[in-house]
Amino acid sequence: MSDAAASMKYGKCFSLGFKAAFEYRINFLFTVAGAVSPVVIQTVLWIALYGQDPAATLFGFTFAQMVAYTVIGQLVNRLVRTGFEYELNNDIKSGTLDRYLVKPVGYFGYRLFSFLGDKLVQSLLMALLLAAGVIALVCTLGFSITPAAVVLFIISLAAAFTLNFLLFWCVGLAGFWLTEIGFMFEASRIVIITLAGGIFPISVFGARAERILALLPFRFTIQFPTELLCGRIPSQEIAPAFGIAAIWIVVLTALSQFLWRRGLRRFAAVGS
Amino acid sequence: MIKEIFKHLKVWMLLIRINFMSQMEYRANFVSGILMEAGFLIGKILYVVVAYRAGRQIMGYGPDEILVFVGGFVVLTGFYAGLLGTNLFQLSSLVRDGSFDMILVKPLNAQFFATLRRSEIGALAFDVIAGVAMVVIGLIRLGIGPDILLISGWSLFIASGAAVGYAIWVAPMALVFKIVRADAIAGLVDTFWDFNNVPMVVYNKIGQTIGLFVIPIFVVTNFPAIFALGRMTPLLFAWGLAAPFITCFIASLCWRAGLKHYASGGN
Repeated sequence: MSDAAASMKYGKCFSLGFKAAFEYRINFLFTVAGAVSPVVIQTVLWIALYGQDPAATLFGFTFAQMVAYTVIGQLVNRLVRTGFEYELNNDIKSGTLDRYLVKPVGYFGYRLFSFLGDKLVQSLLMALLLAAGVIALVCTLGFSITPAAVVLFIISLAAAFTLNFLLFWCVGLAGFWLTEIGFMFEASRIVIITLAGGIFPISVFGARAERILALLPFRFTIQFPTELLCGRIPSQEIAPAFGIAAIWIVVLTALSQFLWRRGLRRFAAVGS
Repeated sequence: MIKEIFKHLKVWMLLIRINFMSQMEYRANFVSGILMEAGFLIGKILYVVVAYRAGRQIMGYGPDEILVFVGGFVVLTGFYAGLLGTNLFQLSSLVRDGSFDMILVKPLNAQFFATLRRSEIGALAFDVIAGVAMVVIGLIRLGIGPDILLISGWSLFIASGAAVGYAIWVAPMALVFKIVRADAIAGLVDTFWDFNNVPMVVYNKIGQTIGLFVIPIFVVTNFPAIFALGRMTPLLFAWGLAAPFITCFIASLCWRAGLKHYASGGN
């Protein structure tokens, strides 16, 4: 198959995800609304903890940095969230996966490009909310943002989408071996979000845990993009961090292909 | 009246037993349900970790006191996840496809049967054990010895919190009969629940008043800890006892008003 044909095919998958996201845009807005309560809860907690000394640092953050991290981190957390793993599990369980296996399109590519198309629409909606959040932070806390930080944030978001997709693809493939894993998705999600700095910055776990977590893929899905936009990562550390993210994309892609091949051997298309 | 209450309690116990037996048939699902609760527990414990690592008081509450608060929250989250959550998230689909008819024809109170028929005992047991352990550890570290009065009072306010929590969930979900798709409402109430991750004292006076008397979400998990820590005022004590009756009565009114809109769609 020519490269042009392949790119046209996956371009269609991308546009399918794009259209689906437009169809369910209200649902996405409700998901984003769900970010309001953690932002409120954590902001009042930080106000109480920093008390009368907002210039002090806690976990390496000043008060303004911590509030900025809370607001932006929660929005990024909502933005990178997946959901395709339930469809993947359903396709495996119900046997409808066989319909995709006989089509001239790779199931992995189909899901990946649909997911990225879906995320493009959500990113456009999120950009408006992020802009509103940043303006509020600028007006209330003197938070500042640079054009370079915005560019790096956008690039890091592309890596975050890909890594989160690969992580949940690998989790979703457990459906080949286990029958009922709906609960496992939620358990995995909360653990991954925690290790990604999606609830609190990973520095709350202590310096040693932070050093280890900095090398794992999770941080690149939430904390890394958030800290880039907040301008908290020194310039000399940005390129190596992107390098680690790229290595994890390669490793997780290889792992997902391995699990896919092993899983397909067990797939019996029961129910289709 | 008393006879009816006992009849429903007996049926509830039977339903819990049947649910447990059916869950034992799919053990991987049972275990993954517990794993999910463990995951959510990590999210709650993080607030305690922050309190301990920050090493500061939060509006006069130290880390050990925060541990007692979060412990109570975990116990009541077990009540919600184990006894209530599945039913409320299924309500929307029952109304949409008309299966709710089968609930109406049962010789039981429809609200009781619709909101309590399914249970996840694994999640309930996991959260109760973890939450009680957190409370006991917190109290021991504070040098507060658990005596009969403390255990009775804490248990009483846990029961009160469970009843208020039930009402806070059921009242808005009654809208399902009117708007049919109420998934977003369930999601929104779910986010309200998380306001108990931190003691109510961190919110300002307006926030505390709303959370105590308008949408009494703070009654759910703050009161057991406030009692155990000896910080309960007479007003809060009286409200803690009255709130379950008032909120459950309002929830029942909402349910009955909502039920009038049920159109048995999908059949």
